[in-house]
Amino acid sequence: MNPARSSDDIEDVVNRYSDMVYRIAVSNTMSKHDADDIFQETFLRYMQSDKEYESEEHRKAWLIRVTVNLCRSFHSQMNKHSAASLEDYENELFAPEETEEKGIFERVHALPEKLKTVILLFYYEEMSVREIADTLGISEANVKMRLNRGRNKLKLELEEEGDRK
Amino acid sequence: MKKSDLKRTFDSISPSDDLISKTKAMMLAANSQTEGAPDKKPDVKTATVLTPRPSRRKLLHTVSSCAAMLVIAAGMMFLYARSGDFPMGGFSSTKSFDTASTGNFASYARLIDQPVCDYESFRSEAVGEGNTATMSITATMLSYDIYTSADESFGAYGFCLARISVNEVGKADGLSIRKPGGGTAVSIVIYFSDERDINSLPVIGEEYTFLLASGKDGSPKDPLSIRAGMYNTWKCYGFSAQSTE
Repeated sequence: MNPARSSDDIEDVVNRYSDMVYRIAVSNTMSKHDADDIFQETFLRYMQSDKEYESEEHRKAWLIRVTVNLCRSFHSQMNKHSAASLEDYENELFAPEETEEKGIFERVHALPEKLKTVILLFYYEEMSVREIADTLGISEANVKMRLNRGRNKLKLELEEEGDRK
Repeated sequence: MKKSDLKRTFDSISPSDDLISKTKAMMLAANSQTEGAPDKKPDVKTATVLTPRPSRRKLLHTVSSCAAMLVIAAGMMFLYARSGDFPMGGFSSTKSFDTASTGNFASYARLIDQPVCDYESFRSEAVGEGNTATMSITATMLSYDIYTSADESFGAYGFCLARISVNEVGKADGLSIRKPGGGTAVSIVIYFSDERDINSLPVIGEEYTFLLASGKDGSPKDPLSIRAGMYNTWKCYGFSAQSTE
């Protein structure tokens, strides 16, 4: 049975990771509705988990992994939500004049799920290749391969920093 | 696009305050139930803020019955029907796969270009090349062998060589794909995208639904597309069993 978590812990984990979990969910599901569901489900699983976290990084990695796995489950119900829901959400996110941001958002959305997640974790969450590999349970070579493919697809001029380790 | 553009774009994505407060309330509710019933998992369904969702089994069933499909090459069937053999880079279903099982992945690695070892990239390429015609079949798994690879250059963690028995062939727009001539058994090769997939081994005797992908112009002659199609489908849809209940 999982130990009851304190309300401070709940506050802390949600405040600390809500944006991260939500970004991963939104970028993977292409649906605000699904992202909301995944967001709740992720933190609910955190509550239900027996996991003892060795460190803050460990807890973060666990949350990312659960979020990604939940996104995959939702992904298997593809097309459940129409493109209209994404468009509505884009309009909610970006002002009409923010065409550049909207364009970037759409380009990232168009990436395959695996590339998207790695790109997001590397460039936005600023995780290292090794951390991403550990978190997603894939090899570092695989992470680099996905980063390269993601960059190529996005035609990014992102600073690679030598795929910092 | 620069890194700062990317960060700026994603800065705007955050959960609503309402969602955060509901989630915290849900967690607290689950937590208090845990404290009150130490021998029982929290009945989180009673948390009123939760969005009702189907049970996992129902979900699996829904996914299976609606979209749990794998792409295999219609060209394989075409070639199979034509020759009764199953050409796959020099291997055939009637030949021994000992060379593969002993780890000779180099030859396989050469069969698949890296760019097509990815579902979406294939899809996008396919759209450009007009290779998007698909059709579905239901089939029964007759046998399979799993081969794994530690070779990073392979682009996949391994593959499954399977023989399936075609039970039913669905309709496809503009295509006429028939059951293989002289029999109903077809060999397929499924490439695993990651280690997790390898753990989801197919089960002999289960029924599966596959999605067939054709080659260019509805004529399955492009071997590259055919191979990519097989690989891609696995990645996309997984090997979900069709309930036989």
